[in-house]
Amino acid sequence: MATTPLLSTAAPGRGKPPRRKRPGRRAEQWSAFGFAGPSVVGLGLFTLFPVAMAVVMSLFHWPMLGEPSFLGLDNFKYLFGEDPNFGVALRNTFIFTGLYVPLNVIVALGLAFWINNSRFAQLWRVLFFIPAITPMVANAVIWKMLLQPDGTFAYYLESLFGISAPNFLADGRTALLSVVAMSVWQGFGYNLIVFSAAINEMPSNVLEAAQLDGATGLRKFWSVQLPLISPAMFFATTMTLITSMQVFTQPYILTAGGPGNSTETLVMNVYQAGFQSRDLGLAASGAWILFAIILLITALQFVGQKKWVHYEH
Amino acid sequence: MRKLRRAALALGAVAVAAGALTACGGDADSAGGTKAEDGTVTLDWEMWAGSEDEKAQLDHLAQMVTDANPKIKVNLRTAPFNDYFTKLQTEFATGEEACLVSMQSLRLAGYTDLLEPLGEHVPADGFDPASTAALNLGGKQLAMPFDLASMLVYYNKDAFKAAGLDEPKAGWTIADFETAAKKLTTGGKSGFGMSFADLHTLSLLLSYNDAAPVTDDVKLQFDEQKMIDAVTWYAGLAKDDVGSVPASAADGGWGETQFVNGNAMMAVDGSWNIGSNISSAKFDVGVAPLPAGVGGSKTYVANSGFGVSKSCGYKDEAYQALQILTGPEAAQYLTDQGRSFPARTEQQPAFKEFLVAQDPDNAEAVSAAVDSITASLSTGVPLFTTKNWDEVTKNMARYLIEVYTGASTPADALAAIQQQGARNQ
Repeated sequence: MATTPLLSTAAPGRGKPPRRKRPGRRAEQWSAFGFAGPSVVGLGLFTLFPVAMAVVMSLFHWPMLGEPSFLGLDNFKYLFGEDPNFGVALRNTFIFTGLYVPLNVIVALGLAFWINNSRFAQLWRVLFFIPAITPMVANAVIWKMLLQPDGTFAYYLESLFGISAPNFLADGRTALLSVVAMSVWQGFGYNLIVFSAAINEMPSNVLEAAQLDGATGLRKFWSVQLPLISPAMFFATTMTLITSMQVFTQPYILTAGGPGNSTETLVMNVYQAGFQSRDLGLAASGAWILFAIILLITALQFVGQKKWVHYEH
Repeated sequence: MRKLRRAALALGAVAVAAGALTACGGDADSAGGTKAEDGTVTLDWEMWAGSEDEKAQLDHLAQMVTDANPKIKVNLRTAPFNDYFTKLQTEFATGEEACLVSMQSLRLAGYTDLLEPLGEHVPADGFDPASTAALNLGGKQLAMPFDLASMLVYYNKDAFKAAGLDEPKAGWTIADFETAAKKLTTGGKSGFGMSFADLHTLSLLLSYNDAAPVTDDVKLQFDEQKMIDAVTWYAGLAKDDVGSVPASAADGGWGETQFVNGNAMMAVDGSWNIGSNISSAKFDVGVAPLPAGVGGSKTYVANSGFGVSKSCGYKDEAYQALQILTGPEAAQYLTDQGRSFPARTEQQPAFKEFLVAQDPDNAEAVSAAVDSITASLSTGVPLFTTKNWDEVTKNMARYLIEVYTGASTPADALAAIQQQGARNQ
């Protein structure tokens, strides 16, 4: 559509350049079309169409096997009214996110600053990054062994402190915390790399100027270094928050959502609605609620960033 | 401008054509097979397989069909067992199902409208009656069986000897079981490995007081009084660590794993694990029927078989193929491969021979174990399940573990399982 004004301004009799440019521009348009075409078709078929389809499905009772029937907003009413698990899943997801994101960022940031001054910076980065690139399922299985009764954690609690450990994953009070602990261990490596890169890129002249002005220690960290790496922090918190709202594998492998529904998360609720209850309409409704929540939180973050993220101009 | 429009049109046409192509693909597959010009029919066969060995066995069966009927070929499609039913229901949902569908008795209820009743088409002669009964729902034979499984108590012979206990044998009672479990609990080891898996748990509850989670017309009744009594008894085993409580709701195979690892001295497990349990445990393994409660020793039986999808475009060929796949020769072949306890009575003794040949040092134990299967089958009851059984088993895991740890009461947990399961049953 952008071609119309270009062509219409090239009125005849206005001199050579527009006339001569025409074929070239057309060729460019063609190649632009050619380059963009496949991804536009791909995006349309595999992203936009399923997204639109999910909206439609959320308004239907859509069994995996059988005929769909129109329900209007009943799926949403069910999720917020009668479903005994959805509200709990929502609460669990917020608790998980509320604990996981700050812990992840604090651990990653702390270690990134510490590593930066270490002689073996590269080695540490590789070591801390390993959990992030190891398959999540393998990590979760190992943590299950650590956390189970008579497992490693129980053994050390007993032998070092004389405390008899709870059954971490079967006790409703500790199950979600265990999932958070495992997730932080698994996930902070990625942010650590992001922060490390940002710390390395801090302009030395600014740091020197701060030092000459007498800024040291916490003051330097809080007023100079943090603002300098704030774009990286914004990126890290936004991405971490989005992925944490979508948490699935860790609770699925560690606790299967139990005991009771104490570790059931939103995505797990969607998965169960779709593949265990075989109610695709209900699953689509849950997925849309999750999408709306993530969209809202991300929008708030983008609005909020103006107050604390400093970009170099 | 005109060119651009033409280009857009062309692109649109390509997109429509692509859409049409995919739609056509769906239609062609919905027949579950294809027919060549010379009249040869190729039937798709959906089956689970976890290894290349298993695939090779299934390919051999497919070849047996073609050897018997040169005009019929079988195209095997496999998925690992854990993904199989997700794949299968997705295929049915999109009209891509195979003509020949492999089915587990526990999942049958979800597929009653999608499988063709076999009726007169496939004779049921020569099968153990329990095996055909498990795949017969509402008077309709929806699949023909190839194996048969019951639940048994596996026990650590060495531990029984050390504790000076008599080994369990057919006719032993719930009281004997409890006494043994308590006496075997020493030195941080438990007498019994607990479970919340459907067959493992529900079979023992059934034997305890005839508690049944599902009515005869396949409706959930988890909150029924007998179930509450039975779960109260079962959860009571967790007291004083007599029963080893699963570490989390994700530990579906806890009891049997703890048993093989030597951490629990008894566990309920399926007859399909006889060979692997005896060979992988570092102690002598004994096997007995479930302990008898008020109505004698009972167990649920479960099995797998093959059915024909309703949409299959080549049903006659599918019936012929089915008779070969579940026929005596195929049963003999699978038994010789040690696949599982066969559904055909004639081949059942060969399974014992196979296991004994595999593990000659334990010949006596293996032989006695297979006799226990035969004994348990005579009182075996098929476990018919609701359409949403996956959801029910998920909730059993989540809520029963709370009862075992004392965080919830049997009545509350069973009410939760019932209430959540009733919606989609």
